[in-house]
Amino acid sequence: MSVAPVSSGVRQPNPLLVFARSSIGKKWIVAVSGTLLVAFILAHLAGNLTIYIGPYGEGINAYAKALHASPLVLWGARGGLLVVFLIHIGTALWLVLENRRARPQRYAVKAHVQSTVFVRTMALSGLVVLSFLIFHVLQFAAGLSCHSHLYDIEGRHDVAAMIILSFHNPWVSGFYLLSLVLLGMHLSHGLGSLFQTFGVNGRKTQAVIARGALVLAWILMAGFATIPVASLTGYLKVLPDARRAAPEPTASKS
Amino acid sequence: MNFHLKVWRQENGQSGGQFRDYEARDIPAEASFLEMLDIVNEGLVLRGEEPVAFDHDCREGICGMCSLTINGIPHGKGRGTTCQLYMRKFSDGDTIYIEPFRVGAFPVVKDLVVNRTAFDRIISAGGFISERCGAAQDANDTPIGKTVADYAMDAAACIGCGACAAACPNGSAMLFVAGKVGHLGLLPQGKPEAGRRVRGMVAKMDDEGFGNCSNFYECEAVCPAGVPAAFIAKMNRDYAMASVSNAVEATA
Repeated sequence: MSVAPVSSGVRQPNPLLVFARSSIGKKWIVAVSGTLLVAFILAHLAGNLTIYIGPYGEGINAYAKALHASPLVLWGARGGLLVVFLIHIGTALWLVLENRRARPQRYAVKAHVQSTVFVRTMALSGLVVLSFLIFHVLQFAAGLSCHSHLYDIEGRHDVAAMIILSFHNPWVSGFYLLSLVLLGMHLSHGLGSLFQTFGVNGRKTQAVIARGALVLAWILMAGFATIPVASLTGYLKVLPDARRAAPEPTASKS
Repeated sequence: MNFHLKVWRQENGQSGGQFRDYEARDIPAEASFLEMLDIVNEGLVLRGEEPVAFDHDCREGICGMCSLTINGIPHGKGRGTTCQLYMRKFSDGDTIYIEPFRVGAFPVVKDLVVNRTAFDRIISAGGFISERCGAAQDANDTPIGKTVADYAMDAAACIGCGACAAACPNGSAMLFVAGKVGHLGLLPQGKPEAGRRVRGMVAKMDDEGFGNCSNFYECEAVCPAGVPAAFIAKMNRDYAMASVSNAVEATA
């Protein structure tokens, strides 16, 4: 008896499609897209922290101007990011639906032995973060914030003022911080899970990776959280209106 | 000791089921959980009622036949099979919920008995080695390093009870499959078929309707044989590599 016929003469389905549709293949897809999203989060955090450069956050205005220097690259990156997001969310939801089907009858008594609260709330934290992202993109990237049309000393779009003034609204800061907590929970499981899915996890490394992921996730979230906190406490200051210049011709469409 | 039992009763796979209350009286503390059920069943038979059906065989913790989800945990609290769970682990007067293993791919046969032949079909899809029969070869013909042998044994310890899938919130059988894929793939006798084995077994596992692993690691916590979840990582890697080499071969 052999495991499977080497060549049965029948046309075999595409091996890569078989992989992508399999339980493990879908996990790989979620993990690879998740890794790319983590890379984006790192880049996004590094960009955000430039708001601490200069007395009125001019660092982030320069950074934003550099980002917008090449529309092709910017929209290429945005498009790529959107595709990665859709793949990550779509595949994850597909997995969730399959998992529901695999356990049609629930236990009357719910008990868990060693799973963390983070893994048990992955779908919830992911969907709340998604709703935040929609708001976040509309507010800051699409320029729907009521503070989107200010220009700094050099006539650049004053991104720093838009962020700081928005965060002066406690609802905006509060939703932002709440979303960070949920993203932190999502990453607390996700960052460590990557290693398991990629198969670079062993008995000895499991606890170390899980703990390292937890620490890294909350360091990242703390990095993001400093900005609303620094805005509310007045550490980050907004350029006085009297010193604003007229907009540069290119700065108007951001 | 006395216990209030809430036992899942179900006539067969087609009918619905519900919990029924039973009182377990004068149970010795040193009785195993299955012996406690035996005592309850004796009482039911004497009263002319249908005894509770449950799976059991060796009753010494090695066969993997006993199942039961006790207060939400397959095989009950603590590592080990249900037959190795003793009533002294409970407190006098406890209310104990007894449910069957709840996995879509394990349909209920009757009461607490579920059909776990899905595991047998996964094994048929590759959980073996193809070897000519004949006289046994010399003992030291195929040297295997101690660390490899030990690691393979950690996975081979699986008794196929299904508690991993029953504990998994996703009803995933990955710890079981990873154990089989892992121990055979680590040893020289299993290596030649390793790629086809992992592809075949994973395909069958998906086909049977088991869920996907989300790295809850509940399986590892309830496994009576202590198979580590690290084997699932190894299977994830093995499966991806086998799929890539299969795709490359398909183009040749």
